[in-house]
Amino acid sequence: MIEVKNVSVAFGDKQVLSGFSHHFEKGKHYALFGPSGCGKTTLLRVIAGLHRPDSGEIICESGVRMAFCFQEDRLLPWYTVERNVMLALPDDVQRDREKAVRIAQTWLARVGLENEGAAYPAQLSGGMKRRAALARALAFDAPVMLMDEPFRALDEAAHAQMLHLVKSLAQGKTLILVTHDIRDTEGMEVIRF
Amino acid sequence: MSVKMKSPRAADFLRRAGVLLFYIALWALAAWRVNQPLLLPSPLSVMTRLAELLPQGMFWKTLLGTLLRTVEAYALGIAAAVVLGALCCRFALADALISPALSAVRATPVTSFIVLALVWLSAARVPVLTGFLMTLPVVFSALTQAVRAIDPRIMEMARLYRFGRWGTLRHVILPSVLPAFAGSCLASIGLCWKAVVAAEVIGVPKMAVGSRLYEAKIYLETDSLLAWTLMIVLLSVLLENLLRRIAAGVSEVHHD
Repeated sequence: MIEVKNVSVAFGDKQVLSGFSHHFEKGKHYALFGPSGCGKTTLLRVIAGLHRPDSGEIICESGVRMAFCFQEDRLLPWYTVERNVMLALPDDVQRDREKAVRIAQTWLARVGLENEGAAYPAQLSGGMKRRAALARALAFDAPVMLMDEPFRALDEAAHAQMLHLVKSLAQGKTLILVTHDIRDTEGMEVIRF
Repeated sequence: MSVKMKSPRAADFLRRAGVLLFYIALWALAAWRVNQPLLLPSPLSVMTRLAELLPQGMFWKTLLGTLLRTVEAYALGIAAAVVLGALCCRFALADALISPALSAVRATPVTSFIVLALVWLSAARVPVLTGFLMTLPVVFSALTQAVRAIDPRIMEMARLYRFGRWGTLRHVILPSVLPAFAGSCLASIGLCWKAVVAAEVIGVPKMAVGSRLYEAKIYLETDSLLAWTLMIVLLSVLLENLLRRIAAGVSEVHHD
């Protein structure tokens, strides 16, 4: 479904990816595993079309939706958490305000933020913001889920709970997860950097 | 004995009134010490002059004339700043052409514009052009800087979550730019107001506070000069407060 062919990326003198190739199959789960600075995030950004590689190509279905959970929460600070999640919903759902609110609340409840919908991002702890960002990525309901250390800043219990949630919701979807934690990679194809 | 607590609003009012009284007392003391009404009239003589002016229809028409010129110059300045700002943020060529020109306008002394504009335009239009040229670069520069300061990571998020052009404008660009835009609008109203009156003093159009100031200077009516100045300050403060309320309202609407 996503074919990465001979992709190379350098930042100045530093070669981050050098001729990387991989075939990511539809509906399979992958873990990009390795130390910091080895190009995992860059690969995710190249796949999402956020970074143009110096050479090589990405072949995937045109117009395919990709949910991206960034390393930072990237929530809009002027909107409530609930509104942030609502913005990831399809346009036709967003037009029906009541329905959109209901769906956003459901997603927030699934990540344990059922009481925080009316809060602004600045009022949340780091872990709560991560979960809100995760709720937004899940609400986007895309066939491809790109997740860049989505469980960072979460405590052990929340980490395990969110990992379970992501894996169960990603059934039938292509999941590419960047992680430093080997426990996250269970049941996934691991691509070591 | 019961002690009544003052509300914060009442305390603020009392504090402001105290400051005002302090400066009026200082003014009265200076006027008494100088003892030359032509150089520095007392607060009482200025108030008396103001009381004479207030019932006159011409006084209100004059104020209205200046107010309308200011509002026109201000509105045109903001509208032009928004249009030119959008063009410069979108097209590099427009930015290369427009930004240096507006920097030059910003650096040029206001009197140079007034004198030059008097050659081209009627005395009544010069204040509008001058106020316009004072407002435009201030709002333009705040707007373009705010657009350029938008976090590119948020723009990436908007792109991936498919906000579209309108959604990105509505949910990312406008809320990011609004505080700087409102701040520059508030800052430029005072500038615009002063530039309009300055142009009126030099051009001496009909129905203009600046023209009355000029006449007061010619006829050495210092009490009139201060009475008109007092009205200018009062109107400027009122206008700024009105805008502050509008800006606060808009900002509240934009938050959930």
